[in-house]
Amino acid sequence: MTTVDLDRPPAEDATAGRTYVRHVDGPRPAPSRGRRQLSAVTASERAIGVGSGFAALALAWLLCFQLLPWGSPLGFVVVAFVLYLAIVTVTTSVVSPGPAVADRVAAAAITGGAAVVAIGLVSTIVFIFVRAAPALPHLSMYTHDMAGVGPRDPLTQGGLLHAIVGSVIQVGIAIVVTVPLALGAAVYMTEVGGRFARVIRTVVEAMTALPSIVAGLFIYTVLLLQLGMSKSGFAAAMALSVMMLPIIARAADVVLRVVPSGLREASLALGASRWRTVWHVVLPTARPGLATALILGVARGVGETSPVLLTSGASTFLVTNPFGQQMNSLPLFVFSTVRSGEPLFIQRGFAAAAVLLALVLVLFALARFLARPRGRR
Amino acid sequence: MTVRIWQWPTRVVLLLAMGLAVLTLQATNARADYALLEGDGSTWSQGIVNQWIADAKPMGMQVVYSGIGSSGGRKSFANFQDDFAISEIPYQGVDPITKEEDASNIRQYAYLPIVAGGTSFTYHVTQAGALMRDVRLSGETIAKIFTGQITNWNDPAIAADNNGRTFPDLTIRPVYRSDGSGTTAQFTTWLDKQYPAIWRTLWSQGGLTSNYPSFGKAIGANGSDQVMNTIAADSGNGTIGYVEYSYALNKGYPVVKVLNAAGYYVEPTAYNVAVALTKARIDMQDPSSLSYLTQILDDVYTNPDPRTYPLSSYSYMILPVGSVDRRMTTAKRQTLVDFMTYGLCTGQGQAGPYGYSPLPLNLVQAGMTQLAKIKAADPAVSIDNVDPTKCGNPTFVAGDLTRNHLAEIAPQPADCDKQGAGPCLGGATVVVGADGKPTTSGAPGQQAGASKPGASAGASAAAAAAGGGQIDPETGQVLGSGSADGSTTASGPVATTIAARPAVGTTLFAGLTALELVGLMVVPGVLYARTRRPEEDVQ
Repeated sequence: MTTVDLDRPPAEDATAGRTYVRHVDGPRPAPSRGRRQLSAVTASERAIGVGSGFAALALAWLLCFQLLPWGSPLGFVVVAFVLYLAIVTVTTSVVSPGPAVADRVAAAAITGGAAVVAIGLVSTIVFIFVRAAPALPHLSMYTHDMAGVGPRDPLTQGGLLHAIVGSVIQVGIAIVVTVPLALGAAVYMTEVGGRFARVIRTVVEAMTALPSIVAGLFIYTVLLLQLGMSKSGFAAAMALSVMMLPIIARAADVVLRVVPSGLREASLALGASRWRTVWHVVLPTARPGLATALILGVARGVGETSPVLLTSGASTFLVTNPFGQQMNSLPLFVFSTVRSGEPLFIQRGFAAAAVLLALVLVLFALARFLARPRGRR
Repeated sequence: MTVRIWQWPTRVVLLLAMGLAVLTLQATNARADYALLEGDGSTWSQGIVNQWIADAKPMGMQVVYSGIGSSGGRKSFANFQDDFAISEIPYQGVDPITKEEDASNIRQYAYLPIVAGGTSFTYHVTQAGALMRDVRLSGETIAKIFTGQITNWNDPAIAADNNGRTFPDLTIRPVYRSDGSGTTAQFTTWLDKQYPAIWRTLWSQGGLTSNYPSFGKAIGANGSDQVMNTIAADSGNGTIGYVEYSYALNKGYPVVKVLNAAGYYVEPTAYNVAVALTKARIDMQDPSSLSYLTQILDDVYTNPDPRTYPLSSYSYMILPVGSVDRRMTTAKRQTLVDFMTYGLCTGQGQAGPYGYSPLPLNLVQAGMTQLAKIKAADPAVSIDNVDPTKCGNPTFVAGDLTRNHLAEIAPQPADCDKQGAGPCLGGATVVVGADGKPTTSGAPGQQAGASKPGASAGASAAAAAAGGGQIDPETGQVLGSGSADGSTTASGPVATTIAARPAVGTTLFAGLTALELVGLMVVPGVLYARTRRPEEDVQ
């Protein structure tokens, strides 16, 4: 009790029975056990992580492939992940106190969970490309259709051109149809509002969960059976539109709602009409978000098989006229070839799946390019 | 300002306009008197139809075929959505499950047989770490397996079918098609006709169904490819399922040899199916009946020829034969006639390699009668080529229709495939080459050797024992690997049984071992951490 802390009330001091020293300046006393590193990884932690990983993989291999009848890659990954968590817990608790153990285990669980998801994603893509590898290097895959090519003909003959062109045309028509409708619906929901807008929002949200086969059946019943249209790329595009419209409308609605209302108010205060405000202020502000909405819609549409199955038919040759003639598309080509049971057809199907992945990537990049912020042009 | 605002939409519109501009370019390279033909339906027939479409392209015929399933094809046809449909079963009037109408409505049609095939049963049973092959089953055993009455591979009925061959103690998991399918319809037709008492324990209303009922340990799989994948998967040990023969062939999996009326166990090879179908009859009695012109297979199931595969049937093309049909034109009818004439004749030569079977003469003639109806509907159509005497079908000689060519070329089953003999193990299997000619894998000498294993059956077990294996005193089974090179598969009915993979009984012990192993790794660490913790707290 050398000094009395003036900051503290005396009563509290009395109960605590301690003296507080207030350091106005001068160095703080050094912490007794060294400063605890919160973010940096020490060598021992790294050793525990790597060692536990090895141990878990080895043990999981023993369990899955030698002892138990779970000899599948999925079982291996799951067992390895669980074992990794267990081993990390035990090893950490040997060298560190309780809170540190909880911290490490939580970190390991999150990292490991992310790794499991990444393994799932990467293995999907790798699997497709590995299975497609025998077919992809042939130039004819991209320059020929399947006209006159039988299921057992070598991969040097025939290709995917008809399916690629069909997919692009169908999705293109679907974009032309859905974008104005979806943007209109989104603008109505956010800018006009009212009771009816709430009804529309409910309907749009319900439609996002629409099973894709129902969309196909709807178009099949209305366009093909009632109106007597034949199976064609246009009918397929209409079915895809039914799938894409709610996705784009809902995403666009969310995007338009986050446009700051200050911008709208400023525009209205300057005397602009509501229409001019929407067209010149709201939509340009939300443009990157609207592009994302379009991407989401296209991503949904380009990979849909079941609406197309009922409405487009599956031609084996290049068809560029979307009216009155059966067409093919990449998902439909993948579906019909992979199910055929013919090894060469299955390889072509995987090649089509790989091309579809690449096509989606190109579409995404294009949409991002079109919608990039003005400042960086 | 306005210019910039308009930039984004205009760019998108320009881009799409560029895309749509391509649409105006339309290539039609079909011959003038042919027109594009669009059909859909059965996935079962898709392989061969795709081959015919490829073959017909150089002749100037453009045909599109979408495999949307038999029932979809029938519906499309009724709605004038296609120029022809392919289905394994005829119109049913009213679907027994969905109660939906299944009829062609006003569209006039005829049934044309297009390609035959056997419903094959493929299985995945491992014994001694190797896939069992050459399994033989009688129709009754198959019916009991697919109604849940036989549930283990070591069932005495299965052993009896295989002349005492030892099967592992393994639960049978039947795999059925969970989607509506013509393959299921063909299988259940046979079940209902041949084993109604067994079949109706599962399907009380009787008759055929396109949707197989779920039961017991059975696994449903969507589509033939999924059935095949389920069986071929690592986890598929113990499964058996019905698929088209081509799926089993392409996966390299064996198919069950099924007992026929002559007492032989045969595989669904192209020739065995074709021989069976020579007894197929066509219902010609009542033109107003739904079954008019459809197949009557009762005599096929009981065909006394030893080369008969009992579960043989064929699929139909549903032809539009109305003179007033809003989809059909003379050019389309001509394309259809020429396409199917190719299919019935030269095209049948492609059937064998794809796991189908060529149609025999009686069915080709029936088919040509149906094609002639198109001429009756539209006199402008030429059917000059529709003539069995000009037909390049591999089952008969075009110039001499009276000669029973099929009976001459179809190989007889081996003696060891006879009921009560054999079984043939690792022996010659008949594979139909790309030329449509049967070839036997293995020299004739080997086949002869394999055909008399009954004589050496007792000796083979002894030989295996002498070769280092031990015989279990309780079960009489050969333990240990008498010949590690796997040559025991060629021995007689007493095959070696070595449990390489843990069977059902040992799973418990495997689990305990696994727990012990994990405990061994983890428990010392836990204990050490526990003893150390108080020390730390003191500090």
